[in-house]
Amino acid sequence: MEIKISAMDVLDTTGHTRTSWNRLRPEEVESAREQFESLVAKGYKAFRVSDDGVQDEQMKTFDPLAERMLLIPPIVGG
Amino acid sequence: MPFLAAAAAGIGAIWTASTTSSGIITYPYLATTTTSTSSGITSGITWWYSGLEPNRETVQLRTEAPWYAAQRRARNLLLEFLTPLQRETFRDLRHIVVRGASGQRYRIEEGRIGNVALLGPDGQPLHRLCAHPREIVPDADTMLTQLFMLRDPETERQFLERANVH
Repeated sequence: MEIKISAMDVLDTTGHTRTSWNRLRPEEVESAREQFESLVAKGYKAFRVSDDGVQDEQMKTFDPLAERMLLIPPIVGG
Repeated sequence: MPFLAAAAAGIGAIWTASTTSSGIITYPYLATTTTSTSSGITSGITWWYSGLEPNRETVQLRTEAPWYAAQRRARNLLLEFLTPLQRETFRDLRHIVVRGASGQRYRIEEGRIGNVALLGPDGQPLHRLCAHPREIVPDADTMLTQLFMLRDPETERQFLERANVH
């Protein structure tokens, strides 16, 4: 079976947590979508990024075809 | 390892901390119970409870090793998103300079509080901006959050609205 891996890095207290999934497996895509939507609902901002680390646009909704995403935590004024 | 050691010396007591497998330090605490005997003598029993103290806010401190590992992981991730010049600046000066979506230039210094400076045309700081992740994350994650927010038009506006100006 062909494998097309996507990854989502979520910044957190451990440095970051990476979730990877095979874009060709619907159940893995759905699990990633649930995590994405849960974090965005908590105020995280999601960005599509390229493999070479170039920042692309902000993502408001989950894109199952995105190869890599970065989710940054909500901020507060200090 | 649930508990390492606890010791009492005379009236005073030596507090020691133990480390759980999850990296949380727990502190034993001294508890005293008194019992009246048939002769009317009150005897005191002092004992150590080896666990989280239930009557005060739980003390949870990160052990150094996981925190250092987190900082290293965050730094490595930050480096992935920097240009070669930004990497060099970060390595030598512990800050990065970024052009925001609005065209304004910012200097993001290593740190968490008030670590973003809005730069003037001459490259000198005009004022400091303080906005950081609500959660305590490694400094490099804070910098990465600020970097991404400042490079996107919508989140740059949100950052500037949220930040306190110093």
